[in-house]
Amino acid sequence: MPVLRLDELSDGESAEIIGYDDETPPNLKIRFVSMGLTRGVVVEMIRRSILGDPIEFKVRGYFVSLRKSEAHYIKVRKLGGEK
Amino acid sequence: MKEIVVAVIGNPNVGKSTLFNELTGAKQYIGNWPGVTVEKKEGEKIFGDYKIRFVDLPGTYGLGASSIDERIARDYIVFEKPDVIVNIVDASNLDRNLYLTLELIETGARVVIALNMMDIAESKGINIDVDALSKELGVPIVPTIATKGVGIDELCSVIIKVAEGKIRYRPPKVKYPDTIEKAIMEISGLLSRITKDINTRWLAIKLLMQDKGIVEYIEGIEGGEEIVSVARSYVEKIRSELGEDPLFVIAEARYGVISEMMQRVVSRAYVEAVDISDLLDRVLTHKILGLPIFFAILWSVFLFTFNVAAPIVDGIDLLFGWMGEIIGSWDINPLLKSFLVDGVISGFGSVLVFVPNIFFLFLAMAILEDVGYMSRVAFNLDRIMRKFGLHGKSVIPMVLGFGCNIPGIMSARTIESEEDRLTTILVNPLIPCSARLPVLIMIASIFFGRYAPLAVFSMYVLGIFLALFMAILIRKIILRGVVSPFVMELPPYRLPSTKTVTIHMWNRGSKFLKKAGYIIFSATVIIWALAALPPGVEFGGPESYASILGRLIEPILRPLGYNWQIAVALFFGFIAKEVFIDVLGMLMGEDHEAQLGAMLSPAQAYGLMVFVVVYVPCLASLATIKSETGSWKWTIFVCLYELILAFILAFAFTGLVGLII
Repeated sequence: MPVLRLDELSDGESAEIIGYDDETPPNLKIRFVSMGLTRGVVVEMIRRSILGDPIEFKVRGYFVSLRKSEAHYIKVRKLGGEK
Repeated sequence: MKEIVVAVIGNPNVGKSTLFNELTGAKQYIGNWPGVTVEKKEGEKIFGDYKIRFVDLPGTYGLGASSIDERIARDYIVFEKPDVIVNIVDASNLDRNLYLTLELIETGARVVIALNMMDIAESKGINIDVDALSKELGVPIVPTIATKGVGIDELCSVIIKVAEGKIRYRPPKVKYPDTIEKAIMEISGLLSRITKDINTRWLAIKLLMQDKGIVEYIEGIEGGEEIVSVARSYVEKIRSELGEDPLFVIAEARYGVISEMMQRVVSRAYVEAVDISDLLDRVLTHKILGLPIFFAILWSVFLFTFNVAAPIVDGIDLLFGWMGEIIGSWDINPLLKSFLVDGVISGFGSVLVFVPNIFFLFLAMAILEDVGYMSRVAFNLDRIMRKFGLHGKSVIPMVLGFGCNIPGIMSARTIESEEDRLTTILVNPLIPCSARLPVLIMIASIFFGRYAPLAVFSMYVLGIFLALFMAILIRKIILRGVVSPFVMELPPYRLPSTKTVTIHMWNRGSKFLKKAGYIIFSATVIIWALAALPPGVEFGGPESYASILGRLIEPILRPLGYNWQIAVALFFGFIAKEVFIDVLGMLMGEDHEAQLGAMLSPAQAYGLMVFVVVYVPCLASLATIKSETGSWKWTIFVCLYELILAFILAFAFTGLVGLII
């Protein structure tokens, strides 16, 4: 399964979080963690905003929006199946 | 009667304010947290032999504290030590909510869980074994449905049992990987030598998570610096052994505990339900439709604010006119009569007339917030706003600014980073508020005939353009901070609760009334005195102090072509922009429009419109800027940059329009 960054998913695609970029700023790390964006969790890409940024994801049963640049810090493994 | 202090904490969008309103009713006290401008809400409830004082903490997802809001919540729990903590948990979104719960329990605090939104959880097919969950977490749980007032009394009686020590706590111990446990043991051992008040295990975990606030706190205690450096070396060790930040390892261990619990206490039935929120979002956050719909909603808010309030506004206007006539017929001291008629009624009254508009605007805003639309607006526009150094959430204050800059400035509170919030506040007065509209309309209709609407409209374009332009300048030159993150929840849409919306409107509206009313009233007294004194002069006549003042300012404004009456009107317009018209009326008499028409060229008139839009915020806005930024420096900064900008632009536009016409 290919390893991507979270901002590279297309609408409706799901992926599992496998790690973070070493450059992730500390305040963003805290945010990711308290919002439940932790390793092993499955994230579904829902939609992009006007101009393609920010991006809305579904995680742990709720919806969260991240900027493209923020989602780029999260490494994911794409899960096959639904398009 | 014994008093107990209860902190109310929870994730954003879990129905916290609804539950808080149910607990305390309308008896709320709104203040500010010490040192910051975030609203502090408190309320009381008499229950049995107790007076329970509830403190509403800002919504937070954890005790990691990356924004002012979160820092307030964390510091209150850890340092103020309330008797009991009510943790509101969204039953329909259990696993993310329980992360905060575990952190709270780790601090050693006495937590009571209000398991809210039980009805929504049920409709989603989520079935929670409340007793089992309570045993797992070792804390009491009361199921509630805040929107229907269900579970409020039970919650209060559990709070009292906890305060009386009748409930025993058996909190679970989250087991972290061995390397981390070893570090926690050693660090908390060291910590117990220098601090007694705060749970040392929790502090040790926070040090390993490299929580900035806690690191600074420990460093501030004698002997703390060494402990922090011990913790730092452990962080490095863990990072090299486990290949990951301790922050992530600790968080994952917590979520691990949560998901194991969930498997034991939650059962899910498959419910085939249409996700209404998702359907709405497909339209409201649509790539093409999203923006037009946003503008349509804005337009309806304006129609609502102005049309619905119009009869009340007219009523108040009539009332003041009638009072003016009555008082005018009284046989009293002429100075006192002039004070009542010219000062209180036409001055202060002209501002009070706008109160219904402001209340309706707050109402519309409360509804949009309560429904959950505001976060969609931020989502739609973040990218565009970021190009101007602003945040997605900066749109809301700008939108509200068209009605009145005061709620606009106040609504910037939800923006996390101080730099983004300040910039949003500092550019807000450039958005033409509804008080400037009558002034613009008056000038435009005298000079521009059928092009008047276009002239007025161009002022709105100019205002928005200037606000964005100044935002870039401020962000590039003065407030070059980090861009605040946009990790934001998009909560499900909910029907607004009447109680929450009304209390919301009332809290904000009455605060405006108190603050602005006080300032505007004092200012009215001063203006009236200037126009009526020294004794015996014609009101606002050439011998009055107002006129002397006008002639003092006139030389500065002469390059723009304005005479002393306009100078006085502009000066008084600083109190409230619409006063500009009243002052001209007072000083020039009935035919002031014709006089004005003869006095200025169309180009100068256009320059005057620009000047009116840009120059200094009104007094009430300034008072709000002062209270929201907590700084005289920023308040003066706004006045100065606006004045300078007004002169330059009025001059430039006068020249430019002169060339075209």
